[in-house]
Amino acid sequence: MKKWSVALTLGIVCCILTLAISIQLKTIDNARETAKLTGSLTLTSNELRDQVLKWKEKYDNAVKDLENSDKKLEEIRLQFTQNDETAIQKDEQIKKDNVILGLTDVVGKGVIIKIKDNGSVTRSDLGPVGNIELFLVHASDVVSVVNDLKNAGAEAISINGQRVVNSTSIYCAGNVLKVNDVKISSPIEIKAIGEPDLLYGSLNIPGGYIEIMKETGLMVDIKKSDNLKIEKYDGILKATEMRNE
Amino acid sequence: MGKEKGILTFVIFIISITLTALISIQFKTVNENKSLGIESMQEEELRAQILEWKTKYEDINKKIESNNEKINEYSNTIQGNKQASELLEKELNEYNMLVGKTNVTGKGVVLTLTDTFLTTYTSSNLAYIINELKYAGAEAISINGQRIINMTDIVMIQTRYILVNGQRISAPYEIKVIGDQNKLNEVLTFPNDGLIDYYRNNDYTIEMSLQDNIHIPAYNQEIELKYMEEAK
Repeated sequence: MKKWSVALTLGIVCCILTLAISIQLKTIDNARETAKLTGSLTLTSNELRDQVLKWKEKYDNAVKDLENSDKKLEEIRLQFTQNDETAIQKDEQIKKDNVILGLTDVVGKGVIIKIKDNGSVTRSDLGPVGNIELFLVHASDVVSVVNDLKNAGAEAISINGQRVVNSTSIYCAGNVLKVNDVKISSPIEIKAIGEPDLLYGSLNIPGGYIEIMKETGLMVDIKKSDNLKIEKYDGILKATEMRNE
Repeated sequence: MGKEKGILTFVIFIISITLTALISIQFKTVNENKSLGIESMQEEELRAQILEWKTKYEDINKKIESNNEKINEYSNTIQGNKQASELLEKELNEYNMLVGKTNVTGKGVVLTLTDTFLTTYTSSNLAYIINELKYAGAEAISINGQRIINMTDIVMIQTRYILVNGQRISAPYEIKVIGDQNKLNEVLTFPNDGLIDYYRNNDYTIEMSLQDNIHIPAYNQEIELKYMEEAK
């Protein structure tokens, strides 16, 4: 008897849950229908959406193709460097350049810095660029932290997964920041590979940038890590205007 | 009793499966909408997105083409041949150029920043200016002969002088930039918010000139990697 009542209760609960979820699913569908009817999802913007997805897919495929072609080039280069000492050195140098440029995933020790937004704070005593508008302050915060990390000998840096490379700029775009032209927003997570004690210590010095950010109300947190992985830059470093002398 | 238990387990099993399936579908739907956030985008924004992905796609395709060219060139040479080693040398030079280890030349702009009685450029100013130049498409930058590479730091020592790459520099600062002149000019001279106007409006002295034959020196120190290694 007792078992049956347990089963019944369970059954009813499950039925209610199922019903609730089905209703929820329907609601989402309905919301879409409404959006279509009210014209916020016109045919043209639907087409545009398809186009966005199409180009995104093409890009994703091209990234894979590039990986393959990089591998192929590497292989063929190796064929020529099998027995030749100077060629091997040059090949090694190319590989090192790739690592320096940020075109490979890297691992090592370092620090992780988290900076959380505090939108209610205005600051008047920053540098000229920081004064333009409130949101630019955030971009300049990140620029400053990245510069300080480089000063402490950071070898690789990423901001919310975006690798800092030669061409990287950090700027505000409305309510978000853009790094490598990719939108990111608070909380900002900066990873840096280098000597952990040095990175940690130099960022934390009294009067240093971390302290300034904390005083102005940003939430800042630094942690050392023995095992960081920083992802490669997935764009292309351009050299269309400059050439070797 | 045994039969009842069996039925009970079976019913609960079926219901659990249904629930799991529904919940996964739900999560998937929500995720799809979130993945690009394109459901809520306006037409203008969508067009910008298309252009962005298209440009990225074309950039990557160019790189693939250049890779293929190199692969072809290698294939056409004989292994261990002199030609092959020249090819390798050429490739190495291209990478070294991107790193900043070579002298480079090209079109671009030259900025001259002068300290005045009222205004003095700080290391932060210079760091933000470099950031702005990269946004404007700079390919190579130097400040007073110090090449800016990816590891370059700019710091101030006791408000008396500035270190770039650990080397002392002082005002006036001459910043040489190689890059697409049109884009550099357009971004930097943007009315009011552009770099030039912004500093001028705040009483800083800044001059910019477009030049067609800019020489930027190589980074002259050894780049040592002690802490990072390629992920396997």
